[in-house]
Amino acid sequence: MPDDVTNIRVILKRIHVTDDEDWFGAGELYFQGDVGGARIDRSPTFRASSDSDIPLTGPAWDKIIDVRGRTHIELVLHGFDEDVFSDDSLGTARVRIAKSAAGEWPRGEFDVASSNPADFTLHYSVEPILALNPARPETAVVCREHGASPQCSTISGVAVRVRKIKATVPSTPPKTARANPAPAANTWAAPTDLTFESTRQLPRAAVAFAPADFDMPKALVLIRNSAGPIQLEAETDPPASTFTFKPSGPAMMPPL
Amino acid sequence: MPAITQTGNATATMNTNQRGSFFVLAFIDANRNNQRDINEQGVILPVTLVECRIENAADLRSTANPGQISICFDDIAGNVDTANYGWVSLTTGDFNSQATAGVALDADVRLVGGGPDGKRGLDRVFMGWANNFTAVTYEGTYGDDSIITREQVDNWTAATGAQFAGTPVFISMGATAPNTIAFPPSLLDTGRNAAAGQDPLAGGLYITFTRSAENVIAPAAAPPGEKRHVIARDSPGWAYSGRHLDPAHHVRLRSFRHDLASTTFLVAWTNTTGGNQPTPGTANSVGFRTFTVIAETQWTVRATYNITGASPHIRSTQTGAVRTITANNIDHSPGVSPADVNMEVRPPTTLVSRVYDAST
Repeated sequence: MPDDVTNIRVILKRIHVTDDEDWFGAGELYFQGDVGGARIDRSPTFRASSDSDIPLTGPAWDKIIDVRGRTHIELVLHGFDEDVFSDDSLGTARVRIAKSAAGEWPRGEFDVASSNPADFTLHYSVEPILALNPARPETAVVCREHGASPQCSTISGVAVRVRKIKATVPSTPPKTARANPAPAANTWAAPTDLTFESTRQLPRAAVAFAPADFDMPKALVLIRNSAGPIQLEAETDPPASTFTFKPSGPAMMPPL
Repeated sequence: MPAITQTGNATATMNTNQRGSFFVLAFIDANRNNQRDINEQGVILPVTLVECRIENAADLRSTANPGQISICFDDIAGNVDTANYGWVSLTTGDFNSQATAGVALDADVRLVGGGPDGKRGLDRVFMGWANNFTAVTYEGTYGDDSIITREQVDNWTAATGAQFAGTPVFISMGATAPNTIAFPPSLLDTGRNAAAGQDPLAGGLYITFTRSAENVIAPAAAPPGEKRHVIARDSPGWAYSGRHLDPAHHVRLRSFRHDLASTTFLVAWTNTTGGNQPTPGTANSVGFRTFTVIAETQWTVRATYNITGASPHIRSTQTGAVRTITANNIDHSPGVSPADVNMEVRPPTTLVSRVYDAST
């Protein structure tokens, strides 16, 4: 359902310079602007010549905009060439990012050329974000396939709560299974494999990494090269969601 | 980071072949950008993988003490020339010290977990020496060429002979034959048992030798992690009856052959709720049934003797190879599964399944 989109993410990825407005050598270019009210501060100065690309990386170029109650946002980027007395304009790239008639926000990668003068082209991407229902912070929306289309929607009318992640640790099996008689039977008591569960919710912020997170009994502790792989299972209520699993944390020490 | 492989809509697998601490994030990737954005909901699983390693060859130093083998009559030290006797005992030392044991298991192990100093999670990691008998031939040959052997059976309660040296005896007059269990493959060998409140069926510490012990080495080793000294010892013995254990045979011991092949594994395990003992039934307590082999010591005890002379000068006389105890150390750092090294971690144990078979 389109109304489930509460944010869109706009990433400015690359600028192609068609004219650096500099008569002698490469230009000293900088940019600034705005995405849906989120300001893009004056950038560092890039040395770039005509017909070259400036890659844009980092959070300054990555904006998540709250679009609840809005039908469109505007992306504006002004370009300049530093000069001794006054900076020369490279023009302004301006684009309106709007909901379609069907109420859907665009998704994909796009180009917009500057005008007055047309000295650069901005390459950017737009991603609609299906987010938490602000009235129900414990609920989440889920992604589903619509035919072959990678569109997302909610489970119709049903609030979904992420409950836990469960790790199933394999028990070392008997070398020689002996089922009977009872005095010699050597199966592990049921359940054979033991499970460890974590219900710690992801914060609505970047994931922080603190030593106390690994205090007993909050962490799963295992021996390197112990039996595996460890089976992981995420659970929602009701069970219907698609999850992505990722490791996260500071770089680990290389093996001895 | 260890590999995490998506296997279904809400499932994945994680390898254990790294070390350190990290989070596993499971989140609903609403915008399908394969990254977790701050408004995407999910859960965190904190994980620490701990590496256990023999750092130097000299740190794995299990030894045999062949000088501890003693063969005498009736457990009387020095009683090797006698007028009469009840049994011949073969001992390999005692359990009082590493130096006086038949075999002394001994290793220094470096453990490295998470955090900048590598100590994170080490409070939930435990190590010990767990033994397997891989082959046993204890057999006494008697005057009528009958043989009494040690066997491992699953029906020891059916033995009807009079116990000898505290061990059940099957005799020919008994209604039930000994039902030997498959051996080899290996059998777990520990003195720990359910009667003592240390049932090996539960795992953890209870599969190890009763004298298995670990201590952080002092002064502390330089980071990363810590080094632990892990020891244990064993001094297995056996008694050969001077008279046949089946009253139907009126004969005396003529010779005995004593061959034991054993492998003691240096194993590591965890317990997420703490303590080296198994804690079945405790919520979120895992690891105490999952063993990783860091090293092994293969060791043997061998002796072959005839009983010679006549009263008052009955003696035991060595035949064949010189009696000995041997030990050979193998490093498996940073760890392999018990199955990879043919280790048995589960009962039945040798001590509760052993009998004298005097029925043939």
